[in-house]
Amino acid sequence: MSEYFNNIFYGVKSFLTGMKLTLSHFKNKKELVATLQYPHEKWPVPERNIGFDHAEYNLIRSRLHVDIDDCIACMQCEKACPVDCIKIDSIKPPKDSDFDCGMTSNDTQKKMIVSRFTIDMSECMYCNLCVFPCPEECIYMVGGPNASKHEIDYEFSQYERDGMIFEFADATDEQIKEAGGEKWIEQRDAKINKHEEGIKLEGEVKIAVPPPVTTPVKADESKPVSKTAVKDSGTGELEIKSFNSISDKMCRGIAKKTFTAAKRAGKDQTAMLSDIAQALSDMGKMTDEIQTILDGLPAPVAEHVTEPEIEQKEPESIPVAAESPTIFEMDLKDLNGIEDKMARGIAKKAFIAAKRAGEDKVEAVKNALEDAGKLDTASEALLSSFTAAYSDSENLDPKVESAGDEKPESGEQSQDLPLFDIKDLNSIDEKMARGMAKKIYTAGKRAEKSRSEVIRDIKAGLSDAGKLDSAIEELLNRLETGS
Amino acid sequence: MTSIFDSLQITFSGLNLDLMIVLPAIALMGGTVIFLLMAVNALVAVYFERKVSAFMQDRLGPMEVGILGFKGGKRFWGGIGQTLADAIKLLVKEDILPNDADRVLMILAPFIIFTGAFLTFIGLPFAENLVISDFNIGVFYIVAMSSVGVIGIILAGWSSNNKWSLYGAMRAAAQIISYEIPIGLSLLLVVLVAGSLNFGDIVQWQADNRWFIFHSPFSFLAFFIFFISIVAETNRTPFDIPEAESELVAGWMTEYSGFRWALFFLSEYANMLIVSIVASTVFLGGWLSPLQMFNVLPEAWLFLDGPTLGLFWVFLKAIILIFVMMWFRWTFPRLRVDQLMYLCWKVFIPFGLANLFFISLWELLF
Amino acid sequence: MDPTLLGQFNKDNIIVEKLDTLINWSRANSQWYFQFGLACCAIEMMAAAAPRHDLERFGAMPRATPRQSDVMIVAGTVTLKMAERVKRLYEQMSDPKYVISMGSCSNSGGPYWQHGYHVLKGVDLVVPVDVYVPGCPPRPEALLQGLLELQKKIKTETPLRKQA
Repeated sequence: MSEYFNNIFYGVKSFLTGMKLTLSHFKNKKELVATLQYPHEKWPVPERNIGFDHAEYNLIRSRLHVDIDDCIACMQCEKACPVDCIKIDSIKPPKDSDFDCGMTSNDTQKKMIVSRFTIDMSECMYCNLCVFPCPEECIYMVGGPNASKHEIDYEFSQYERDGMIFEFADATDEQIKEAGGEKWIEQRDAKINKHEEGIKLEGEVKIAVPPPVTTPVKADESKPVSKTAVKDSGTGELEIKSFNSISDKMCRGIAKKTFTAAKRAGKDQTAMLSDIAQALSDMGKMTDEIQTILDGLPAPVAEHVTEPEIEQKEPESIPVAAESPTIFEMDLKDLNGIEDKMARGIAKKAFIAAKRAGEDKVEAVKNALEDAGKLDTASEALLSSFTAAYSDSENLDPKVESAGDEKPESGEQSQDLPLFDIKDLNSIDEKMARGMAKKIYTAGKRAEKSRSEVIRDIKAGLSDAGKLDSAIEELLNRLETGS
Repeated sequence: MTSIFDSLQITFSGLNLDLMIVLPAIALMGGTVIFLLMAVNALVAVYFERKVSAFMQDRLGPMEVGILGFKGGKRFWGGIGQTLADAIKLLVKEDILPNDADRVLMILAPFIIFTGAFLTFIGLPFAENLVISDFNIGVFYIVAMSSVGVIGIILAGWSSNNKWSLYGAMRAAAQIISYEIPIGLSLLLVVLVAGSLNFGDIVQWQADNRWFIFHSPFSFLAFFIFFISIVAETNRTPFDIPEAESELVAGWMTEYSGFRWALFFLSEYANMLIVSIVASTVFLGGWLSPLQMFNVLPEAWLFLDGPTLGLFWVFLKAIILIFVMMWFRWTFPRLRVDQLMYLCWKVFIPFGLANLFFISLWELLF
Repeated sequence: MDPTLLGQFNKDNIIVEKLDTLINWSRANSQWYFQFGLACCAIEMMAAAAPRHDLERFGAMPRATPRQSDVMIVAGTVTLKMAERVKRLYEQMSDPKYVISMGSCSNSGGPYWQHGYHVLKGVDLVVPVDVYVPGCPPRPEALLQGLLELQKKIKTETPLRKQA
């Protein structure tokens, strides 16, 4: 009972205390009101001491700014960014060019020009980690200690999400071209064109085409196939879809119309093709590329040799993924069709060894399996399918970038072999020697020398350094004779 | 005292019109005045509340919205256009009626609450002869009419088809119904002493004797109980479980948007005004000036009384009480629902009953 | 030429323009926000509502229910799980409604844009956003400026006339 009254008494007392407190706040509002009325009053620097010196460290997490004239494109800030919101593209003028990239304000000679310096402030987490590594102190958070360079700005709300992507590079297109960056400009324009094409939804999107499956085992469908391969129904007949690789919309339309008319008339393939060629020339739209496509059409199964040519002649502005242009190049994953685990392991090991040595992979795998006594009919069939295809595309180097080097250097060499790949030099064990060989190789490649010349140079270089031993010499000889 | 109703009837009697026309005309006039009063009250009270709450929290309330030349900004009157902007915005907002909700009840609920508040204004005295209708059972009528609001709340919670709204509504109903008992007991005390349910008679009694609050310590206690109970009646913090923001989102008002919600809001502030006026009339002397607090001054010195000043005194006292209600809101944390019920049934009702007993003793003795 | 009163609303004239201004003024100055604080930016939103920088000066009252609020301030990382709920609550708001996306995470996925498998890369993938407030987290003043930008945007609307 007394507790009841105690409670009531205590309740009343606390009630009155609380009321008094609030009333005191109400009465002393002139002193106690803590509001900073924002648009009229602003406070950029926190007043209290939090351990850093205000003059040295920017306490306000504000917008990043780059003095682009000072930037030497060292990419330190890009690497330091934990979120990858800084994207820098730089163009280095080639050695013999006399393009002057300028000087920074700290009297450092710039060696590259910056063609793109984008910071996406909607991804940035304002951690300041990019500010410290910059050797020229050109990227900084505005305001605070940097207020002399740029006034503070942390209020840059936008109506569009793209409004927060800041582009700092101010190199004009001419400057970039002068410095040797036409390719970069092409790539950039290609991306923009693709984007706009997508926006305008011009015609059909070119899709990747799976090969006609003739092997009984699972072929690797996940390989990135070329974007412009010719599609067929797998039965060898010409279909209207085969014409999809013609990029020009008008031509494609004409070709397809003629095709349907001819088909209705019951003509055979050759007649149809000649009709189409005729129609296109009549309209004045026949070009070489279309000619090649049409040539490539009649025998769809076997003519994959022409495919790489089509790719190179098609004005494909996007650099194709340079993994494997022909679909029939044997890959490690193709061996997954072998069911027996031991056999598969042996096959794959042999494959890798052969690849490194630059030998015929199919042969090597076959031999290895035979030696192990595990060559059965299924795996033999698998291998033979690759053999057939491989022999067709023997001339091709799997890496498409050096396709331009396929043309042999004129003169002394009776063999016009394409240049071997730099990875083939990986079998040189010693690091110094390997490095040297690769350097000589790249120099030779840039000078567009032929295979024998390059190998000669490598041999000369290595023997000068005293690193040419028998193993390496043997390897080089093997490379010279070709695989 | 004569009521406006009567006086208008007398005025119109000279025109010799049919009663069927005169009565509705008078009712309409009275109704319009009341409605305008409610609207203006809402506007002013909301602004007042936001400013008071802000000052108590060491900040400034609405400051940037000006009206008609009173520009917003760093000024004392910055922000007086705030409630007008709110009101217009609520008018043009979309009206959402959830698919599974009970349409009729949902549309009806705000109007029932509004009607409850509206009808209560009829018996409320604003000055000596300024009452729309002079009921002989004034006090009883007021208490009865303010209970109509509960129906609206329950309907609102039920028809929203939202379990949290239903919880809020049920709690609100329990709270309001429970707290009407201490209100009744306190008012009963006043009626006991004054001898009549009529507001005019009660204030007359206070004019003849002291203000009721100073009559005896028991009546002081009765005022205390009455005041806290009316805070609970109107669902104000610390008793705002029904519309608890962090617990029930917005309680029974959750599914309402736009103008319907504005009606709820309006009725809440109208209720606050009603109970403040009742408290000031019954306990604090109504339209009597402070000079008559203890009734010790001779008649000649009472220059602050009069019919027009009476209106001023009533509203001043009501506004002070409203300020105290807002003061409560920003001082105390919310009471849990069981604490609320404990307070009502185990503290206020015993004390109210004891009060009644002791005041009758007091009356006998003094 | 529709001569009736309602037909007047199809053309530009002084009445319609003034009414438009009035309605825009009232909507812009009384933006009740639906506090959608999900992560760290919620703290800054609370700081913006606190006495130091007061959101209520601009008329922005916090409302806990989407039905009664005008603007939804999405503050913080929107995970894929939460994205569904964000959309649902957005649909429960009554027109006219606006969204302010506060902070890097709701603008574009923020620091998680590259590797965050659980993060929605920008809340504008599920709800239409009117103003993006940058920062990680944005200062309360930045949020206030975002609100002022939203007010500017609202004042250019034409609720009564059909054309933009």
